[in-house]
Amino acid sequence: METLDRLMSVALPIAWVVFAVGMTVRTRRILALPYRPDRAAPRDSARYGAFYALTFAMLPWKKESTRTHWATYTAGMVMHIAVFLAIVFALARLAGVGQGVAGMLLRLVGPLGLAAALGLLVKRAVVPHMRAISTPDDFISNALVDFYLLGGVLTVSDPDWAPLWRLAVVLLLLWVPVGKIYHMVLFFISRLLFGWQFGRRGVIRHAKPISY
Amino acid sequence: MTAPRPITDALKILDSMLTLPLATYLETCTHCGVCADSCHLYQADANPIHIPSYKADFLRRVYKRYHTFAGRYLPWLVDARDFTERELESWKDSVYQCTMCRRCSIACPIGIDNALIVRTSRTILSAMGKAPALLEEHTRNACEVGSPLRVTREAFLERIAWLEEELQDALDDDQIKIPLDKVGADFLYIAASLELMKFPQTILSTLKLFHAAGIDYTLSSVRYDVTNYGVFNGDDAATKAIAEKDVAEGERLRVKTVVVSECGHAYRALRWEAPNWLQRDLPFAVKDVVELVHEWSAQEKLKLNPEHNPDAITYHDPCNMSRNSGMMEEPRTLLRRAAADFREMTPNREHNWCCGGGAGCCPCRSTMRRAWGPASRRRNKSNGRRPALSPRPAPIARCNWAR
Repeated sequence: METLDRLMSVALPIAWVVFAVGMTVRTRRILALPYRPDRAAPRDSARYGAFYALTFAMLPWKKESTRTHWATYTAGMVMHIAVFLAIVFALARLAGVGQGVAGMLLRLVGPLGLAAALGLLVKRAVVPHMRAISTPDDFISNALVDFYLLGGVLTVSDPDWAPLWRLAVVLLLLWVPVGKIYHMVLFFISRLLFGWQFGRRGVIRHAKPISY
Repeated sequence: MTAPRPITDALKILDSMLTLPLATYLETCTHCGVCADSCHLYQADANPIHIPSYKADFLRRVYKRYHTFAGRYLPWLVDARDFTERELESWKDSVYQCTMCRRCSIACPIGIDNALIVRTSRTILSAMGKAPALLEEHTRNACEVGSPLRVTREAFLERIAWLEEELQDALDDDQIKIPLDKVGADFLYIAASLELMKFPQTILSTLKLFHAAGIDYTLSSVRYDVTNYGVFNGDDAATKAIAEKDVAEGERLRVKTVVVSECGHAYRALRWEAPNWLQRDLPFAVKDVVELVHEWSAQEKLKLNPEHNPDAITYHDPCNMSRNSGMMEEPRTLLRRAAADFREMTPNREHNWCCGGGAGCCPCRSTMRRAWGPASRRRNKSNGRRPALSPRPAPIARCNWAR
C-alpha cells in the first residue's frame, strides 16, 4: 500500500492536469460549433422551457420514465448522490474541515450507492436491450465509478485504504474527458437546449391561457 | 434523387450539418435504456433496431470516430467506426423505421433529441442515394409535378369542381363558389395529398367551416398540395424547394395566413422549419385549421353545440401537432365546446403514444408498420371502447388497421 501511495502522489497531479486540459479542450470544441437560432415565430416561452427543463421537469412524478423505471431511477439517484458525497468527503479531507459530517453521510449512503452502481452494471450486462445498446465505454465508465465508490467507502471506514481510493480517482480523472462520464458537463447543455426548443414550440407550456 | 457518391462525401455532409445541439445530443447519451420503453416501435416488436439510442448510435459511432479524441485514438473503447459504404448501408432499416415523434425525447432524462439525429442520418442517406425508393419517388413527384401522389393541376381542378357541387348541396346554396387564385384574400388554404386523393371529405369539412365563419379565403391552382416529402426522406434540397414554392405562392397571392388542414408534417415543415430552411421570415402566418377553428369559436364566429355530439369521445394527439408544435389545448377546448362527453386518453398530450404513421412510415408498405398501430392503440388507454378523434388521417388509418 505504501508503494501505491507513493505512486499515486505522483500520478494524481498529472491526472488532474490531464483532466483539466481534456475537459477544457472537449468543452471548447463543442461550444465552438455553430448554434443556429430558430427563425420561426415562437408559440410560447423558450426561457421558461429551459428553466422548466432544468428544474421541475426532472421531478420524479413528472416523467413517465421515472414511473415505469422506479428501481433504475432510484438506483441512479442513490449512485449519483453517493458520488457527490464521496467528492465532498475528499474535499473535506483535503481542506481538513467538516470531515466528520461528510464522512458520516458517506458511511450511510456510500454502500447503498455502491450497491446501486453495481446493480446498474449487472442490469447492463444481463438485460437484452441494455446489452444491445451498450459499448465498452458504458461498462468501463460504470466500473470506474464502482471502483471510486468502493475506494471512498473503504477509506471512510479505514484511512489506510486511501491509496486505493486515489488510484480510483486517478483512473476516473483520466477517463472522464474521453468517456461517457463527460455527460456531467453536457447534461446541463442538453437539458437547456431541449427546454429551449420545446418551450419555444409550446410543448412545455408556460401557465397562461390561449388568447387571440 | 441523387446518384451514388463517394463515401467521403457523406463525411463532408455530416461536417456541414454539425451544430452545437447535434454534437451535444450525439455526445451526451449514457445508454441508460429508458428510451426503449418510450418507443412504440420497440414496444411493438422488441427489435433493438427500434430503440431510439440504438438508432442514434449509427450516426454517433461515425461522429465519434472523426470528431472525438477517444474515437480517433481508442475507437474500440467507445464503439467508434469508420464511415464505410457497408456501415452506411446498415443504417437504412433502422433510420427509416422511425416516426421522429419525439416521445423518446420527452422521456429521456437528458433530453436528447433523437429525431434531430435521425433526420441528419436521413439527410446523409438521401444524399448518398440510399433513401427508400418510394420516398424518393414521392419526393421527385412533389418537385416535378407539385404533388407526391402526382395529383395534376387538371385533376385538382376536377376535384374542386366536384367539391364545389358537394359544398353547394351541403349548404343548400347554388351560388357558392370555391375561390381560386384570389389575390389579396386573407387565407390561402393548401390541402395535402391524402386529402386530395383519399379523404376529400376533410377538404369539404374545412370549406364548410370557412363558409360558416364567413372568412375571405382562396385556394391555389398552382400550389394545391402542401405535403413535403423531402422532410420524410431527408432530401434537404427538395425540402427547401417544396417549401419555397408554398411561400412564393403565399407571397404571390398576398395572403395574411396560409392554412394547412390534414398533413401534420406539412404544417410543421411550413410553420416551424421553412423560415430556417429559407433563412428568412415568412410574410404570412401559418396556421393549422384546428387553431383557426379554436380562434373562430372563441370569437363566436363559429357556434358549437355539444348536444349534436352526445356520445363519449376521446382524443388522440398527433405528434406533429402536440410534441412538435405544442398544439395541445386548442383541440381539447374545442372538443369540450363541441361534445357533451369528452374524456381524456391516458397518457395524453405530449405523453400520448405515436400512431406509427408519421415521417414517411405510413406510405411505405411493410407488415411491421401495420403492427405499430395495435401497439399504439393498446397503450393509449381510452377508458373503454369509444370513438377516438384525431385531426390527422395517418393516425386514423393506423388505428383502423389495428382493429
